[in-house]
Formats: sequence, structure tokens, C-alpha cells
Amino acid sequence: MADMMEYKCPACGGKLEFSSTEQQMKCPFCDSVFDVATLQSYDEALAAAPESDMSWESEAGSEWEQGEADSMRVYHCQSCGGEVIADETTAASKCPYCDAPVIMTGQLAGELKPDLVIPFKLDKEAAKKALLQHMEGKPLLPKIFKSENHIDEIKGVYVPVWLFDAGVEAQIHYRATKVRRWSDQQFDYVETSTFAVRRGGNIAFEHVPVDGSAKMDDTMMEALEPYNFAEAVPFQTAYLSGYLADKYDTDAEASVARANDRIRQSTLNAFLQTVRGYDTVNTEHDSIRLEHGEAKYALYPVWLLNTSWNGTKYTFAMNGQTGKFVGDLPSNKGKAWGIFFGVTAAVTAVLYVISMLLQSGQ
Amino acid sequence: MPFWLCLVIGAVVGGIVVGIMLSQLHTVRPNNAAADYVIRDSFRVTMQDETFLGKTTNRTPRMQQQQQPPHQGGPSQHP
Repeated sequence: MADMMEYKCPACGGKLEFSSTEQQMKCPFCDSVFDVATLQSYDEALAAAPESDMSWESEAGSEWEQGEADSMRVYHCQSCGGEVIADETTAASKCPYCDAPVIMTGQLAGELKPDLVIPFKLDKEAAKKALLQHMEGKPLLPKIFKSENHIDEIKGVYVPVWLFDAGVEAQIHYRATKVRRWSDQQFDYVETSTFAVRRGGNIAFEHVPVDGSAKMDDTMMEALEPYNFAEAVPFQTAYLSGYLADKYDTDAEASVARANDRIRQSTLNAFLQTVRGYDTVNTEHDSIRLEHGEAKYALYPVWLLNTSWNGTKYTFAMNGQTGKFVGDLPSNKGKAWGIFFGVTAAVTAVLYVISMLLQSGQ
Repeated sequence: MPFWLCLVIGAVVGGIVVGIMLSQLHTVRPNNAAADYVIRDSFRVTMQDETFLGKTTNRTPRMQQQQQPPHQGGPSQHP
């Protein structure tokens, strides 16, 4: 019986007590009543649930072959400290991230060679056109920003990404409720039935990308997704001609946490969609275990456009494969307040007139 | 409908309109899930069960004003 005293109410989390009159466990806080044997098996199932295991085996990237990296030059940014790579035919003068001057520091050596690359499909003109389209149809964008801003430089950059593949085995415990309401002449009744729901199964992910460059904004890289991985090809230095390539400075191990977060969230979402027919569903415990987790090192094409306006730097980026364009724009705060007050006044006036007309008609 | 309620509804609509316009300027958003990278047909549910744990019923008295005479106005006092 001492074990039973430790049970928590599945409905409200309060400590359950044994009710001698009902011969069942009863919650003194919400008056829920539970069968002892059911509670015992419910707690045993929770205790027996395996722990999550999201560890990876990373052998991403490979060594450069003899002479392969000889034509690659490394440029160092004096401002942000970043290093970019370009082939000997491509002159780099400015950092694609912070626009500060870069200086050549020598030949590429000692870094991992990417496994894969998605080549650029869209050119610089497409990026300029996309920026203009990006600024269309936005009433709160200051007009003067459109006319005054000029793109300082457009750079085609291969951004390093770690791609994670994994199968997932999941077991998830939910606490769910169904609520029934009815009334008689004196009272309103609310009956809440509590259920322990379990789901288990498998789901597999491939090529979940995580930005491997500390200088490239991680959120911006995620906003540029998705890339069509079917067009990825084995890496060759020829693809870098005319473009810059960033060297990874966040390794696969440090990128795992973000991949795990995204895989975990999608796994939870997928299983939650199978729990139907309840009024509330809360996850009590989840066990997410990775199988055959592997990482690859790849380069993804990005057009970076930097501009400054009113002393603030604005960075825009375009997916060099699909043309998806992202970048935060400034807002005209005075105009925003004007629209707010205008809409508020108009809606208020219309509603008030309608209510007056309805009142006079009665 | 009282004027203050019209004003509140107007302000809410105004806030929604401006909020939508401001969100158009903000396009750099994180992608917290990996739904784009799920291998087709790889999702399989191999275990699903449900155990009824118990139920609780709460009852509350229905609105009393249906049984009371109409309110005559003026201040009311509570002990």
C-alpha cells in the first residue's frame, strides 16, 4: 500500500489517496477516481519506457587529394575574422558577410573536403530582380528605402552545411481527456474522462541541414530552405569557379543539437497527429532513439546581398537553387501608426452607426 | 452596442491589419521542424493503445437570475 501513496493524479498531478469507501484511488484535489490496478500498469508502462538516445556517427567530409586544393586560395576577413575560399581565377575583395576587405592568406590546406555540392542554378541578375520583387507590395516599407538603398555587393557563396540522415524509433506516452457536458434544471455537469494513450513506431529523415558557418546567420539559412537535394552532386573544385566558398567553422558535433531539435519536433508532430478523438492531449513522456544516424558535409548555394540605410546594415539572401528570397526590411513606424488609427476609426465609426441604426429600428 | 465596445473592436481590427503588414517585412524565420526531410512512406505506427484511467464529474448550479425577479437597478451590497 505504501507504493500506492506515491501515485500522482493523471488528471491534475495531485497526490492520490486510497479511498476506503470506494476501494479506489481518489484525488483529494479534483475528486477523480482511479482503479488501482489500472494505475499500477500505467505507472509501470511509464517507468519501462526507454530513454531517448540521439547520438550520431559522424564521418562527414573527406581529405583533399594530392594537388586538388592547390588552386584554392584562402581569404581572411579583417573585420569578422572569417575565412572564405575561392579558386585562383576568382578574386575576392570583400567579405560576403560583413562587407569588410579580405586579404589572401595562402593556399587551402588541412580542411575537410565537402562530400556534396548543390551547384548554383540562378545568376546574379536573378538575385537583383528578386530583391526588387521582395520590396513590392509592402505598404509599410519606407518608400525612401526603395529609392535610396543600393546594393553594395552581391556575392555568390557556397555555405557549408552538415546534412544529417537518421531513422527514428519513437515511443510516446500521452495523457488525454474527453469532456462531456450536460445540464438538468438545477446544475451544469462536466464529466472529464482521463486516458493513458501510447504511440510507438518509426520515421526516417534524410539530409536535414544545419548551417556549418558561424558567420552565416543560422536563422537565415533555415529561412532559405528547402533545397532540392536530388540535384546535389559529388563535390569538385570546378563548381567553385566564380563563387566564394565558406569554410566550416562549426563542426558536425556542434551542429548535432540543432538537427536533433528539428528531428525530435517533427517526430513528435507526426505521432501527435495520430492521437485523435480527444479534447485535450498532453505529452507525458517521449523516448526518441536514433538509428544509423549519419552526417555528410555539403555546400549549398546562396546569393548574399548587403545594403545599408540610415546607418543600419541589411542583409538579404537568395537560395541559389530555387530562388527563394529572404531578408528583413525596415518599417515606416509613422505610417504604421497612421494605418492603425485610420482602420480603428473607420471600423469604430461603421460599427457605431450600424448599432445606432439597429437600435432606432427596434 | 456601446461606443467603447465599437472602439475596442476597431482597435483589434486595426492591430490585426498592421500586424499582417509588419509580418510581410519580416521573412527571416527559423524552421524548427524537419518535415521537409521525412523520407516518403517511412512513417509507421507500430503500437497504439489507450487505457481508461478514470473520470471525474463536476457540477455547478445553473444561473440563478432565471429564478430571481428582474433587477431593479441601484447599488447592491454584499455581506
